[in-house]
Amino acid sequence: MSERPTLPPPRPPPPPRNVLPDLVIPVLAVSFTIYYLTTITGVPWIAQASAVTVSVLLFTAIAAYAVRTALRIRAGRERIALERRGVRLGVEARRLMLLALTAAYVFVIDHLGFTITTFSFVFLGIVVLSSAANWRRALAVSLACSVLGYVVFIYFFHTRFPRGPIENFLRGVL
Amino acid sequence: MEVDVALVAELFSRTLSYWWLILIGTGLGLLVGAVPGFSAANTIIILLPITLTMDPTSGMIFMVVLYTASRLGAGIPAILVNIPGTAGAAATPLDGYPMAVAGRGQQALTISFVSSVLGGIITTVLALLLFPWLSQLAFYLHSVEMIVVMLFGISLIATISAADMLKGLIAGLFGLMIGYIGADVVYEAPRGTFGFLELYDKVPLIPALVGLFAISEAFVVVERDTVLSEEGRSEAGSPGWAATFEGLRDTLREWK
Repeated sequence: MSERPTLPPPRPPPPPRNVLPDLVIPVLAVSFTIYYLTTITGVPWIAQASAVTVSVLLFTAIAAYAVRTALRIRAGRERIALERRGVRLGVEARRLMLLALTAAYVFVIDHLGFTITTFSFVFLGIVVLSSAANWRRALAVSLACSVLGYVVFIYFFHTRFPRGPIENFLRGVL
Repeated sequence: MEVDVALVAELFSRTLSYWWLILIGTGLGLLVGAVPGFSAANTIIILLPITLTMDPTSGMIFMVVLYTASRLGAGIPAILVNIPGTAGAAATPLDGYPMAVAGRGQQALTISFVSSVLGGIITTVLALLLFPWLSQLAFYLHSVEMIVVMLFGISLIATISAADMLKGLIAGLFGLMIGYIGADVVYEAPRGTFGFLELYDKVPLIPALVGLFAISEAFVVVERDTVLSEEGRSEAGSPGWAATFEGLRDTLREWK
């Protein structure tokens, strides 16, 4: 009597997918749309029409997405959880520093001008992204970027970039 | 004036006689176009004073070459560092950047350049042939038709760009809502500006594009040493003409 072939054991169901990151855009969209609608309450209808139409479509799509997510969570296919796994402090700190540098660039450029601000931003940006050991390369790249930017855009093309001490000094000299 | 083959041939050969100007304009346009945030229109505006010293034909050729080369150059940062500097290059990183990460940046650049040039030539010829009919089409397109076209575009975004159609639709509609920020064109009423005077003129496209792509890319790059993947590093380790010709072959193979 031949032995019956045994079936492979059934695969375990995949673990429920965490959909918390997917909710960021819908939540932002709802918040912004509600804010937007509050800003157009006093304006004539013609200035509201298209935005109201699109916001209705957006709310409908988000409602459908919320219902679908709720059904999937109930079925055990998805879940919502705040996870701290995979968060590396060094990486997060560098991301925050990069964000701070970008914000600082926007605020400072009007006061210090294009050349100094760009030099500092590129230099510090490279140091943050790679490491302080690369300061020579960072210095060379940031110097090249700022000098090239000044020569091409401010000196030759007279672009209206923000002017600071360097630009004012060089304008008097050159 | 009678437009015939002889006239077109004469214009073509006369334009080619300005090859030196075309070369200068191409180099300059590629250089400026590769700077994220510098659109072709900006480049022309900045260099307009130079054309005032030229004769009309040279000035016209210089500006057209500058414009096209600058649009071409916008593909460079889009492919190599995932930063589309202009709206025209917004879709380029979707396929170009993954190729660059995989060490096939040279092929991606070749595909981008060759297909842009061929597309430009074909479109120009088609436009010249179809102008009489295209001009008639403008009479039939009103605001309602434009909204239909817009909604068609949104549905295309939802269908093509996202693995999940619903999420793509939400992202597209959210983008439209952000597009409504600014003063109303009829009543000048501020809408969704968060009190910023700068937003009265709507959300500027190029800073938004650069911010969305460049900053997010920088945040991702923080995690690793290079934009290239492991395989990409070995692939890109020995650059040569072979990769360029491979890109050329890929472009011509996908001609349809």
